[in-house]
Amino acid sequence: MVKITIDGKKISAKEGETVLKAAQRAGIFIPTLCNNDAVKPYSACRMCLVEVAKNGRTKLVTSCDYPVEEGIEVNTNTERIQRDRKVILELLIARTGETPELKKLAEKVGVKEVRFKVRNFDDCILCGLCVRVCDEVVGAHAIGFRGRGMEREVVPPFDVENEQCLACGACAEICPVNIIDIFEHDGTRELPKWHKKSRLVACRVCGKYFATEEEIEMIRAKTGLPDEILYVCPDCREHNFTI
Amino acid sequence: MRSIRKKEDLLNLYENLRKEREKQGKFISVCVDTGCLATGSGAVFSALKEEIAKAGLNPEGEGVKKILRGTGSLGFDSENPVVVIYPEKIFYRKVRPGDAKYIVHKTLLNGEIIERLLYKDPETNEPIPYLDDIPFYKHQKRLLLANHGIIDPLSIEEYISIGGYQALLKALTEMEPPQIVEEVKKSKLRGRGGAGFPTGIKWEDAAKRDSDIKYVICNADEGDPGAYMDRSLLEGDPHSVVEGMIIGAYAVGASHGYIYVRREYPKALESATKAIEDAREAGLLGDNILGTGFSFDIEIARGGGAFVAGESTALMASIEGKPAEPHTKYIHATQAGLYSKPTVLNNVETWANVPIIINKGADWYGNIGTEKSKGTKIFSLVGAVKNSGLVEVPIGTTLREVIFDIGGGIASEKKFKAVQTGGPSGGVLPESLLDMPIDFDTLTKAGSMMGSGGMIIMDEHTCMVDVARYYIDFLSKESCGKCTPCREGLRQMLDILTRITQGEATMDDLDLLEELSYVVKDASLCGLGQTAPNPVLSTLKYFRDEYVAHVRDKHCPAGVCAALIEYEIIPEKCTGCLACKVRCPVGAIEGEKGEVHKIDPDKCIRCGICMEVCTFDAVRIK
Amino acid sequence: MPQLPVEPAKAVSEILSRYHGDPARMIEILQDLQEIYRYLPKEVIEEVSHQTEIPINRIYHIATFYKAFHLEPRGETIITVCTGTACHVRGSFRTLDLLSERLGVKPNETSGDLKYTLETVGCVGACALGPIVIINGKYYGHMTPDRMDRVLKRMGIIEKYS
Ligand SMILES: Cc1cc2nc3c(=O)[nH]c(=O)nc-3n(C[C@H](O)[C@H](O)[C@H](O)COP(=O)(O)O)c2cc1C
Ligand code: SF4
Ligand code: SF4
Ligand code: FES
Repeated sequence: MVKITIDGKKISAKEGETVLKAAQRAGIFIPTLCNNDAVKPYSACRMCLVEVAKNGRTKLVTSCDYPVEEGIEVNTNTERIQRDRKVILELLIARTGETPELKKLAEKVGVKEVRFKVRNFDDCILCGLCVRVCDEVVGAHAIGFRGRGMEREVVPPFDVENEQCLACGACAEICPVNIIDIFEHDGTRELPKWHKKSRLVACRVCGKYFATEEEIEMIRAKTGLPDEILYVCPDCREHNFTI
Repeated sequence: MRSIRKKEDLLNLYENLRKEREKQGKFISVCVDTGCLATGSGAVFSALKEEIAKAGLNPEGEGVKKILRGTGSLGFDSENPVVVIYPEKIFYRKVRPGDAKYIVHKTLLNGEIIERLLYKDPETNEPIPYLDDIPFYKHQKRLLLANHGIIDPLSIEEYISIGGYQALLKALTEMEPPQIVEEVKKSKLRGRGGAGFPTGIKWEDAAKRDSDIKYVICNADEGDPGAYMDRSLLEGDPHSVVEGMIIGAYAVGASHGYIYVRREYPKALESATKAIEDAREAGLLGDNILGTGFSFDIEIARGGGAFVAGESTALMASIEGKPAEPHTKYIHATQAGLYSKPTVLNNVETWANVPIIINKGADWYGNIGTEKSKGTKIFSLVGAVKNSGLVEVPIGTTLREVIFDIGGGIASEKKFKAVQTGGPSGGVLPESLLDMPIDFDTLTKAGSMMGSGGMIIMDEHTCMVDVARYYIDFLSKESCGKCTPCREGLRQMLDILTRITQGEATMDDLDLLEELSYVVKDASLCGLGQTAPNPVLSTLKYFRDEYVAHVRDKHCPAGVCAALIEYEIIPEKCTGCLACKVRCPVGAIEGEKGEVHKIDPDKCIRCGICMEVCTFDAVRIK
Repeated sequence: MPQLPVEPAKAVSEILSRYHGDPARMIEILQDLQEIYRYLPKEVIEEVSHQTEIPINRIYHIATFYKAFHLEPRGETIITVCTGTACHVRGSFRTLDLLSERLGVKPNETSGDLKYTLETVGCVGACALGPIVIINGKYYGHMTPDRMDRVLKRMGIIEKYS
């Protein structure tokens, strides 16, 4: 156990955990956008900045990847942090327009107006969560970053449909601003953002569509399971229904 | 060359080479680094070679007994191509291939000085025959650049012949690793890559780590668009960097090293590669160096062209074959750096200081510089200055001494306006700060940075808003784009600055620009974003009037911002000669021969050709 | 799609062997491949991914991140304008604007007929000579719009001035 102070509150944190984690467990709110427990911290959105005082020196750090250390004093809501957060959100809203998710956060951190002129040229906030979940969890490596600086964007390689994409939808699930659409119709699943169209597989027991062909093939390649299991949906499998 | 296996081998080799070299006291040096070659020094070298051969001498020389040497840059770039005749150091400037004949016959063979090739004192117009008497050199202290001009950088024998690798010998055979770390700590050497972190402390931390493998890296990415001392060091004296790295590796216990070279520097890449190969062949890299049981080798990593790749975590990612994206440094590289192993990363110039410190000792070194920053620093003095090139001075020298005593002041009749130091991370300093001693702390306090040593002189015809916009434009493209404040913040700063230069901004925009600058500094992930607003904040601090002129009066006082200027022809001066009319690329000039010409401001693209070609000074900026 | 001069599978395996197949040398591997093709065709990048087993999303990110790489074919004549600070304060932007006007291409673009590529570079480390323009590897120092225009005419890139 590591003893730290957050906003004046004494907290016992777990060895090796992040300041963000410790704060969350203690019920202290720190805004985040690029962080998700499913993937490694990335410290890119910079919303989670906090001040950490150690040996009489204060520094600004991202709480999502700053490890707790004995005796540190954390402040999550100083004037400086409030200013920085507000401007960062203004910058993001200038980029994407006022999506419901950002609007909610903006209200919470006190953004009153967006003062920047260049507006609405992309709806993605480049948090990288979709890329990381696809790399780290799904293992499909189907999407990634392109370019650098202001030109940076998330695309499938060459911005065309690719075979690696399983159309599993993990990216859509994790996107904090909900901009990855998924459509299902007539036995296909579509993710227009990645130009991906995939055929769905129906459960051989109940007949419901439950996975894409690519997903089934990936599981087959990984586990070597036979068709009798592969083509049965999780629901039916749970009830031991067989073909 | 035979392998050096033990201490005595190197000592004997040095003795022999030194004597060999002394047999040929008189020799000619021609600078053949990238900058000089671009001015035609290659042809001068060939011509000299031919003339020497014609005179019946062997231009190549035998081993280190050379009559003609192609060397690293002598630094006085505005006088290139430069030829120096040793041992007297007769300095010839702006030499053409046709001069070779005279240099060989008159100066080399007969000791005669050719007056027309000499540098002339700008005040008295008196020719100055010897290098050391020229103001550009007189006020410098050339330690790191000492070998430029006297050795062929591509030859390890040449380096050894003047005492090269003696520091390595001392370090490996007379000192224990902790003693070396202590010596470097005591020397108060601070990193020359920009931030000025104490090198000894970095080494100490890496040395105490327990690890099966450790790395040392030389940062030769040199991304500052206006600095080239690292290129020059690698091209002109690559072994001094290699020697420094071997000593550092021994001190911290590293077995493997990298030199990360910027791809825009093909010649530096070539000479670093050659130096490593030669050192390996000689036995100074590889297994069991000098029979001490210490093994270490160096590899070259070629950069892919990205300013941010110079940042330490990005550089290591790049060596690992990934995009150069920084990550947070809550765990230091000395603990977990390249491939998560303890790593020491230092700049080219930092490494080159190491052999000097070991050779002469920290006490000697401590006599140069200021209380907190020791040694010399190389600056690339460029822009509107008369004498431009690389200058090396003790840290603590004032800006005025560098710009006026060495640089000779402003090149034209225009007035000095500002000096930019620290590149894109640095700031712009006004005339009132010229007597400030240059060191890491004073520059930072003034809102600039030491940076890698770029020093760009600006005269009255430089617009400070345009300069700020220039840097932000550069950085917004060079940012990796990972974190919000840097990527989006720079985008918005660029937008505001662009609107200012176009006369479309309001006074509120100025305040917003300032607030945004502070947030970008505060909240960005890496040093790029954290320092990116410096050019804006420093110009706002020292040249606010100029911003206000653009915003309020829609006027660019320096006459630079295209949207706010108009070219016009002065009727009284125009002779109607057609010179400008035929040259205007967009046909914006009207008027028949003999009649006063007129520029159509709507067609004009502000290229300024008309002003350049008019021999009657009849074109001006309104 | 024009035929590639060298079979990607062959070129890639050859270059990879130069680096003992070490994927950490990706930047160098791609640079060497680009030397063969003068840009990085999609097929080549796919082949690198195939042979190194490095996911293509990462290689694509690298290839679009570093300035060294080009994913589109480039012009026969490559005109590079140094926009380093020293060159900028001496007015290199005017020369760049003029070139853009003359060649009908924007900076860092290639003309439709693949004749010219106009590009900028951060700094070539020869600041004292600035502004610098490099045409197919040849350095031109102290460039101004006037001098640039004369060079263009001499090279036959423009026929007449106005
Ligand atoms: C954006 C950015 C670019 C940098 N570029 C360079 C560079 O080109 N060369 C260099 O030596 N250091 C550069 N640095 C500094 C390095 O991160 C690092 O501090 C330095 O190489 C350490 O060596 P030193 O202690 O010897 O200076 C850069 C830093 C940042 C933030
Ligand atoms: S698409 Fe969504 S998850 Fe992916 S980077 Fe953009 S905002 Fe983040
Ligand atoms: S500060 Fe800029 S360069 Fe550094 S990580 Fe953030 S976006 Fe990348
Ligand atoms: S949540 Fe920490 S930087 Fe995004």
